[in-house]
Amino acid sequence: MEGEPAAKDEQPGPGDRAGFETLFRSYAPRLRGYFLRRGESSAHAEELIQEVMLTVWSKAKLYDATRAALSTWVFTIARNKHIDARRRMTRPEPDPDDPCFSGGSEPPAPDESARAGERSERLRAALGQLGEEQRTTLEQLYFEGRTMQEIAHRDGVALGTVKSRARRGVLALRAVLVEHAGEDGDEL
Amino acid sequence: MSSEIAPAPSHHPAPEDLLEYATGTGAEWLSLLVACHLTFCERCRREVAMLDEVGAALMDAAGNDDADDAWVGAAADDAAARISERTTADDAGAAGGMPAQLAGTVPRPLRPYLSEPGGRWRFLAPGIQHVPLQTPDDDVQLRLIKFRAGFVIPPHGHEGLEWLLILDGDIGDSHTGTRYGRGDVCCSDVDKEHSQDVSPSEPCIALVANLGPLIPKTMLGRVLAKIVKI
Ligand SMILES: [Zn+2]
Repeated sequence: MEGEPAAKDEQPGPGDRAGFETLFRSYAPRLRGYFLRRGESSAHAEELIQEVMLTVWSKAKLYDATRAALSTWVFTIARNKHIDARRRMTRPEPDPDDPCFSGGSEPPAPDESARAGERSERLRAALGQLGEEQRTTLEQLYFEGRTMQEIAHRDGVALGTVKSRARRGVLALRAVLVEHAGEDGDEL
Repeated sequence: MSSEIAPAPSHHPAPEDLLEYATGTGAEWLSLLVACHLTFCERCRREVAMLDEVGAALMDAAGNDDADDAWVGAAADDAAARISERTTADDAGAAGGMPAQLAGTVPRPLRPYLSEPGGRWRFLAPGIQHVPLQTPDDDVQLRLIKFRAGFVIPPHGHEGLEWLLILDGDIGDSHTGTRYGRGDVCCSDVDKEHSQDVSPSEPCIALVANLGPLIPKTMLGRVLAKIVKI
């Protein structure tokens, strides 16, 4: 990987063009891989990457390093851009400024926050340990953007099987996070 | 109206619904319903945040398509040049659109789906008012429904799933024997006959998605189905 994100907990900020380029260089290849796997043409993928990075930059002040790893934030922006482009819709999302919004806005456990980067390391390692079926099911959901119904059809298995593969995969990944984070692993 | 400190929801979307939401593979109506639930539910917000981490890890792991360096350099320059053009224009945002009577009750993600900006309650049947929502998907009917306090929905079944997300007040379901309050998700199974009753003390407002016609089991139900034309 050329240059892991300069620093995972680094705060991107406007007005720093060199910083932007560093960020761009570290994420563009990954984003390209992501969009190509979601079936975009190379040209469109490049357009989307620019969109994503510009959004990352212009909304840098909204990014909270104590809440999520930078890569997680970039991923959510990439996913949303893709949904917007593909379906011509805006993805419905909860808004913390909504008068209806209730509960905390997820202040993470105090030492959980500092370890956002470490968490993604652990997740990546755990991905490698995942059973083949669970992993490919998650990849199809996250990358190919197939619905569970479509995956069931494609893999020639029952919908329930896809659901349970996805679910077991998520539980296994979640376990490596919870195991280290201490409590806060209330079962769903 | 809802009190300041409403209890956290206790009936959540299924894990696979949250996963479809996080991966962006769910139908739009379901994403909308989940987003509304997330507005009320910190626990599910945490779960979705975790699923986003998984997505990022997958992206990192799969990443690095061999984009050639020359392209990355040029694209970075290009993007950097565009930064200045678009500083604040982005989120001027649609501030209006939510009728005053609904703000505070109806979560913001619903706003773009109100068919008319004023979205006001209309008569649907005695004791029931509704605000139809623009249907994002062909096979689903989506609306806000307000039941008068004490209203009883007579026994009926469904050919397709019915989802309720309670926005205000509460409603009981005869099949599950449970009461659902603000933020709770209640999904009625196909063929399971049930009746529902609104608490006598206050009206109940819910986001309702119907995936198929309703099968009335009583005369009153039949009349209702006819009026409601679900
Ligand atoms: Zn929940």
